[in-house]
Amino acid sequence: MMASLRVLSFAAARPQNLLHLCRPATAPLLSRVSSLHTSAPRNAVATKSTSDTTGLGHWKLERVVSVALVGLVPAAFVAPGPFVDYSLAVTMPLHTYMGMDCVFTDYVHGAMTKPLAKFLNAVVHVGALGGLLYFNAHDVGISEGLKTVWAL
Amino acid sequence: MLSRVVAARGLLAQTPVLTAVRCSSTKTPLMKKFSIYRWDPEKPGDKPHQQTYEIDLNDCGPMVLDALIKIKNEVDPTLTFRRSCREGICGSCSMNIDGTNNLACLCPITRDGSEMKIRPLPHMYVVKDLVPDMTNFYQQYKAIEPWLQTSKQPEDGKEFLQSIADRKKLDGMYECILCACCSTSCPSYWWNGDKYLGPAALMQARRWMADSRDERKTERMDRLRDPFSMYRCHTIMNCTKACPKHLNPGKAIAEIKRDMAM
Repeated sequence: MMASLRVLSFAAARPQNLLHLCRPATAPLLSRVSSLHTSAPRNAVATKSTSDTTGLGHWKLERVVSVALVGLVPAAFVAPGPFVDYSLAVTMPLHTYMGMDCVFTDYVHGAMTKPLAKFLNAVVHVGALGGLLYFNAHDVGISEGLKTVWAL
Repeated sequence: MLSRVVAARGLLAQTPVLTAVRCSSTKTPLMKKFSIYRWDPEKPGDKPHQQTYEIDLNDCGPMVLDALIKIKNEVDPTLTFRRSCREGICGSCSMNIDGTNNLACLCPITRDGSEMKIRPLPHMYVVKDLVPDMTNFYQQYKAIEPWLQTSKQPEDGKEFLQSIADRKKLDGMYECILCACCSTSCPSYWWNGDKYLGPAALMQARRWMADSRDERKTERMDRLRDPFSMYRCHTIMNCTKACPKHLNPGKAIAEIKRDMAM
C-alpha cells in the first residue's frame, strides 16, 4: 500500500507546482488522484537466504522417483519378482503423493484447508502404501496382479 | 480535415461504437474494430467493460499501438494506456491482445475483418483501462538484487573485465525489458504471484548467477530453495511463448534448478 501510494503521490506532486499556477482548479483533482486506490503490493517476497529448503528437496526427490519409475514399470513385465514388487509399492504411492502435494501447494490457499488437504493426501497415500505392501506380502504381488488384470 | 463521428451503432447502449473517419480520403475506407477494456476507478460505480472503437486503417500505422494512439487522439481522449518508445525497447505498452500478452508496438493490426480484443495484462490489479499496477512485479525484481555483487576491487582500478566467452553467457537474458508479458502469462504466477517470483525476475536472477564477475552465486541460489520463490515453476513454458523479445525464461529457470540440484 505504502509503495503504490508513494509512486502515485510522486507522480502527482511534481506537476502540482506548475499546474497550480495556471489552473487553480487542479488542486482538488490532484488530491483525489493521490488518494486513488490501486492495490496493496502483494508482498511476501523472500529477500534473505531462507532456511526452508523443502522446495529444493521436493524437486530433487520428485526427479529421482520419476526416473526410478521409468525403469521399474517395464521391469515389472520383463523381470517380475519381489524386488520390483516392493520397489513399485514404495515408488508409486510416493510419486502420486508428491504430485498431489504439489497440486495442493499450488491451488489450495486457505489457512485451514491447505494443511487439511495436505494431511488427507498423506493419509490416502500411507493407506495406498500399506495396501500395496500387504498385496505383495499376502497375495500374488504387483507384477502378477497387473498381468492378471491384463488377462481379463 | 478530420471529422469525428461519434455514433451509437445499435449495439449495447452503454458501449456505443466510437468511429473516426477521414472525409476527404480517396481510398475506400478500411474500417477495423477494436474492443478495448475500460474501467475508470474515479467514476463512481463504474464496472469494467469492453468498449468498441472503429477506425480507418488507411489512415493509421501498422501496429496496435498506432491504433490506440489514433483512438486516443481522434476518438476518445479518456482512453488510458502506457507507451513510450513505440519500438519494443521500453516495455511500457505490454497488454493482452487477442488473448496473447504482447507489446502493442510490436503487434501488427490483423488485416482480416475480425475485431481485435485488447485487455490489460491478465491477473494484475488494474489502475485504469489498460494500465496495470506493476508494484508487486518491480518488488520481485528488486528482491533478486539485480546488481553486481563482489568483494574484489577491479584489477585495473576501473572496471571488471570479462572474456568474450563469459560475456556470451549473458546473451538471451540481459535483453529483458521487464514488460511482464511472461510473468503475467504464467498460471503459477496467477495463483501464487504473492510468493512466486515469476519468470521475469527469475531469469534476471539467473542472469546474475551466470555473470563471471559476480561472487554471490551460492547466496543467490540459497534464496530460492523454499517451495514458493522458484519451485512453483512447473515448466509450463507460457513465459517463453509470450516473450515479445523472443527470450527463453523457461530455459533460464531450468538452468537454475539444474545448478541447485547438482
